[in-house]
Parts: sequence; C-alpha cells; structure tokens
Amino acid sequence: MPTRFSKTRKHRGHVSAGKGRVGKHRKHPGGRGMAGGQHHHRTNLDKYHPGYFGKVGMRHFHLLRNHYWSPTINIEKLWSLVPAETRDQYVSGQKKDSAPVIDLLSHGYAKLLGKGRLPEIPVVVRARYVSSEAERKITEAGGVVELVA
Amino acid sequence: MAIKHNQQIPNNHFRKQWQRRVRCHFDQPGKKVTRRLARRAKAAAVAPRPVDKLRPIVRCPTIKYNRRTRLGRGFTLAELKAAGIPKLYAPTIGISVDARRQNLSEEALAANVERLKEYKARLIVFPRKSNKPKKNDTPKDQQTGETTQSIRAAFGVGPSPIAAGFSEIAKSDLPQGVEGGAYKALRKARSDARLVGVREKRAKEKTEAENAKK
Repeated sequence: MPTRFSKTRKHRGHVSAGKGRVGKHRKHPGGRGMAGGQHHHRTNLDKYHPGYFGKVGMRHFHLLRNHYWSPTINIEKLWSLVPAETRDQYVSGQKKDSAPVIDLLSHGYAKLLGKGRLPEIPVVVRARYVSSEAERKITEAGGVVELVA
Repeated sequence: MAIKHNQQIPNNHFRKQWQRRVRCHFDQPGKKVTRRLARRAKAAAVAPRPVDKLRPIVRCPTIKYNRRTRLGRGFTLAELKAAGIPKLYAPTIGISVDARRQNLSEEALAANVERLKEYKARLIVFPRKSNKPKKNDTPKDQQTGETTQSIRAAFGVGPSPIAAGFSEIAKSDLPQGVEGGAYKALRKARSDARLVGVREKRAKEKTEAENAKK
C-alpha cells in the first residue's frame, strides 16, 4: 500500500495520533508475558485456566517403573488364555479328568483380579499376585491358586 | 502481550536450540556396507574359528524382565572351576570370562557349567604348529567334523526355562495350593518384609531389658 493511503497521513499534526491523551500509547501497560497471573490478571486465569497454578501429588525421586511392573488380568478374561479348542472341550464337559494350568507370567500378567464370573470348572492358576476376591472365586470353582516368583 | 481472552497459554521453548543436539546419519547405507565387509573380513581372518565367544545364560534384571533369560557377558570363575577349565586358558579357546559376575543360584550355576561342558565336548583345538602338537590340543584323529563360525547360532539361548503359558494336569494330582490361602500368604509376606527392622529392634530391646533385670 502506498504511503499516501495510510491512516498515518491523516494523524500528522494531531498531537497524540489517535492514541489518546489520558491513557497514552504505552508499550506494555499490563506487563509482559504472563505477568500478573496471580494479581491483576487473576480473573482471566481463574476463569479460563483453572489449575494453572499449584502442584498435585507426591514427589518420587528416581522413579523406576520396572519396579512396579504388575500387569493385571481379571477372572472374566482368564479362560481366554486357554486355547479355544481346549476351552470348548472343558466347557462342553468332554474333558472331565484333567484341569487346565494357566501360567499368567508367561502370558505377560503378574496379578489376578476378581472381576467377573468363572465357569464351574477347576483350574490351576500360577501367578505372582492374587487378590482375595479372585482367590475366592477360583477356589469356589474348585481350582487352585499357586504363587510363583 | 498481557493475558487476554480465552486462549491457550503459550509454552514455547524458544531457547532449546535443538539443532545443537541433532545428528544426521546420511552415511547409513554406506555404513551398512562397511559393517558387512568388516564382518566378512573378520570371519575370513579367524576361520575356521568362530567369530563370537561362548557366553553364559543369565537371567534378565528387574521384576519386569526376570522371567526371561539372555546371554550374559562372561562365565564366572566359579562356573569355570566347576567345569574344570583354567580361567586363563578359557579366553584363549573362545570362552568369555567375567570375574565380576556372581552365582546366586545353584540352578543357574549348573546350567552354565553344563553349557561349558557341552562346548568343551564339541571344541576342536588345532595345534599352532602341526608337527609339534601340545597337550591341550585335540588329537589329530579327532580334528575332523563340522566347524561352525557362529557360537551364538550353535549355543544360542534356547526357549526360556519358564513353563509355557498353558498346560494340563490330571484332576487327581491337582496341587494343594498355598496353606491358608494365597492372598493371605502374600499379605503375610509383605508385612513380614516391612516389619523386619521393627521386630529386630523389639527383640533386641527385650533381651536388653532382661539382661538389665539380672
């Protein structure tokens, strides 16, 4: 745009060039950046960014996730670890004198939890950890929980 | 700008200078060829010896991976002793030795000793000078047989000794299970572990109090 069309041309000769005599055209009247987040800009922050200030939780220095490795599986999914064919044989009652042994650790699970229901078929579960509810359901179905390292 | 309107709070890291830490590897295809050639040259230079060393089977660290085994750095001195291989002789016949590793379980020790023995049975040591064979060299009539260039392929890690995920047992020999319940046993073990110091202190104070009485 050529200069002759710009608005500045019209402001020339007028003292404050349209920026006001009282308020004045200053550089950063509210402060730079996030200045005043807890003071004069508090309203905006509280309104639009709740939770911006402060901390949550506890500190844990040098957190190593591997030490807390314990993937869980629920009772309801337990029979899905048995191969489908064998499972059908157990469920339909063709196999009566044997029981499946499920080693959770080699399936990548460490802990057995008690959500869901189990068929009334004895099953041996080898796991590192087990919840009380899971153990109750397994033993009620005639099964056994074994603990492995 | 001051804080105005409902906008995302800017959190740009303009001073990070990521370009300083970036390395490009445009030589990747070239390096691949170089590595290949180097491997081939090494294999040719050491033939008919294998290019790698015999390494022990060790258990991976941390609770997450200790269900797996892998190849370790070297055999411990205890393992070499049990297998009857002198520790200074071992590295000369392609057995790697790690003087720092410890044997914590008898099973692992036995497995690695077995590995060493198996290796020794298949080992062929050619004499340096064919007209003057030494005591440790393989007798000439046994210097035949196939040789392998990769110990890792011949003595790799087999399937992990942990059981397969699924098996079956007869109902008659169903295991007994943990006495009093597995869950209870777990809680007991946890509390026992947590109370070790406390109980020790309590027992110590008790004995001290009794001694003071006397």
